[in-house]
Amino acid sequence: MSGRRSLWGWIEDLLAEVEGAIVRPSWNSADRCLEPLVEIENRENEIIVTVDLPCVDKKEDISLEVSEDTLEIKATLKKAIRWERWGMVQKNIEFTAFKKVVTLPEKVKPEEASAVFKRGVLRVRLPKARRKFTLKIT
Amino acid sequence: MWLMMSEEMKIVERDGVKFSNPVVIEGLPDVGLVGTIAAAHIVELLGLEQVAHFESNLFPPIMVMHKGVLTDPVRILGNEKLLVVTSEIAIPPVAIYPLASVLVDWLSAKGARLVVSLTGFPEQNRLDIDRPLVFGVGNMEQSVNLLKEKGVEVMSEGFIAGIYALILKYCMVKKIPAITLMAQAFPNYPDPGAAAQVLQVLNNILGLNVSVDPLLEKADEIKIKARDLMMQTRSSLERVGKMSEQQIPLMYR
Repeated sequence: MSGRRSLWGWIEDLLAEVEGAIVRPSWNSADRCLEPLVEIENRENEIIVTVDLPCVDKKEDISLEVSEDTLEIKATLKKAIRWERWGMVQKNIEFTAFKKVVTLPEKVKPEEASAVFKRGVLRVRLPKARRKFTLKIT
Repeated sequence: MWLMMSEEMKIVERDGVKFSNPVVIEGLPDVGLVGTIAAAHIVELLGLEQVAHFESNLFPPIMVMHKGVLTDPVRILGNEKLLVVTSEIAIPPVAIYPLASVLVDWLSAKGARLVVSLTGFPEQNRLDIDRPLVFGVGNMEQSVNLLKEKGVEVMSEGFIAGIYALILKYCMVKKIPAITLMAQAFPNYPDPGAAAQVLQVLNNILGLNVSVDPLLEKADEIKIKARDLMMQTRSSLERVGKMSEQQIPLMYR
């Protein structure tokens, strides 16, 4: 992530990453979903979320739901994938989609969000909700 | 069994392996997993077998199973004339110095004649780039000249960071010519397209004939399989000061 954030916010991110690395795989057997790689860029007036979605053919295969502080991505794979020799549990799973809920670092205006899908990468622009006023210097 | 070791890291070589001034390709996890993807492709296409592996308490306690066989994740594959150094786990920052040092000592003992590191250079606009460019860095005049002869643009000012930077440095101390090939790559996603570009340049430099078509055909599958390694590598790169590659040196000339 880029952009300013508090020391406590940085610590929270680090703890979440460590916890995720220990307890949470990047796949889910219950809903047969893979977790995509996501990058969050915190710019001055907007947040940009980029999602790598290999094996997703077209934008019609992607659904996005935006709230003030979350972005939910679901994308259907063009072909179900199963790795028949992988692990002990995983080899029995046929993965059919990507799924992820991204918690946004600041509140956004969902009604003004836009998205583009190009070469297997989804880019979502989310204008921030905070208001800015021009200040005159006297 | 042959050992090369420091207190923290060692290379364990398989018995009966002979080397004849090999060329070495280093493809440890870095930006876009460019080197790792390229290395894996070379190993598969040329049918290279494991010749040695790294052991260290600085690595996480991880082994990998392939075809039911227990395998060390950080290993060296190859033959008499060609060696490929690669890993299926992100190299922890604390292991980078000892790994680079032990590796170059071992390569020197084996009479390596050229070391080529493959990696990516973070490109924010990668999505809009059809064919990533490949740049080079050399550790001595001989290696810089090699890059120029082969038409590779050489980086003349800037920072480089990561294990390949140390490999270049330690090879310079041991007087082994070394180069790094860096392709424009997605900073945080596996990038088989960038790996293919780097392989094309490598083919030209070494006279190899590694086809990139199979790599590009399974690019999507590679990107899915490499997600976890990319996440681990991303975290590791943040801690080794990879961002310094984006900065201008104070003494820029």
